[in-house]
Amino acid sequence: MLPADLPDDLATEPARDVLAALASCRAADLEREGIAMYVAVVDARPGRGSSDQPGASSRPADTRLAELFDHYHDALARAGFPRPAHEPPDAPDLTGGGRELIDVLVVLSDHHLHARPQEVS
Amino acid sequence: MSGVLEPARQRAAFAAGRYVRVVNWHNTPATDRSTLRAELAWYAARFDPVLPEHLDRFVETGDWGLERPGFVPCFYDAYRNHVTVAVPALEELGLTGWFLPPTGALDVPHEQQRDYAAAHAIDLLPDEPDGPWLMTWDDLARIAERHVVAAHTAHHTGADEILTAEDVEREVHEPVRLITELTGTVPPAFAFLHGTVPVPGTVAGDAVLASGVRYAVTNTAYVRIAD
Repeated sequence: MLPADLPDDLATEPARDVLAALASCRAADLEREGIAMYVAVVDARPGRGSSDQPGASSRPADTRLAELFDHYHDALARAGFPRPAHEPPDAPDLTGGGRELIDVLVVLSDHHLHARPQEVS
Repeated sequence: MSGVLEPARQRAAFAAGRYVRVVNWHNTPATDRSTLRAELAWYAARFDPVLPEHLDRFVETGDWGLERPGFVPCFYDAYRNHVTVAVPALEELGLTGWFLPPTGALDVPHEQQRDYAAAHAIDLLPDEPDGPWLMTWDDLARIAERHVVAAHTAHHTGADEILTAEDVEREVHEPVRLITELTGTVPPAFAFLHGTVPVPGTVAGDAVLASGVRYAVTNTAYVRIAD
């Protein structure tokens, strides 16, 4: 049972077929679509220290997002973080080493955060 | 800084409530006007737009100062259709967008824009056969009156392409300076092409970290890098 006060993006049930969800994201025309992303907020200023792993909050929304992250990360990890079929095996990682994490965030955010205006009453 | 690409740190940030919802757009063609408006309305019905001062407050206090969860609507790459489609939709809905133009694109004459775009990873759409495709400085000045303008290099450049002092001046310092002159304030954020992290000890990374810009926008995090 989910807490009643979750924002509705986080109350959405997780995708059962995460690989299909990843394929759907990769088929999207990202050049003309809004790409939804949950991103971290990090303080990397010298001496601030909060870029180290912070403690968990008690807010249900935060716990839920972390659980959803686990769901998508674990599913993609089990599948070996598949690269797009058309991508050469030696394709450079233009993101600087973040491809796998970005895939997790893209699938997570597309399923939960991406606007679904057909549901607007 | 490289920790922002570690899954364990991302999860910990989420669990700690240290995250923000972002939606990144590139082209916003007139053919998609109704879809864009509907999507922005969907977000506006649920989330409050985040301004740089909200981010500042959150980083310092852990409190956004917003009534609802925040979201950042971002528009990349200086497309003219931001002026004609995205901005009217944002303003109709009372939203504040973040615009990240490669500043060099703003100087390109209409007749050279197609070639410039092709050479700088700026995709033009088949349903916009006729230009202009890129906004001007006058367009950006109009946007800056009601929206956030942040830096995205001069020519849509990746961090791995910025290797010399000349590169740094052209792709980091000059865009920051030009946006500062236009808006009267140092741009709050900087993003490289591909959203790569400004890694300390690299030419490009050190330049951004010393630029005075407060946030590095990456694919996985908004990173506070300066006071």
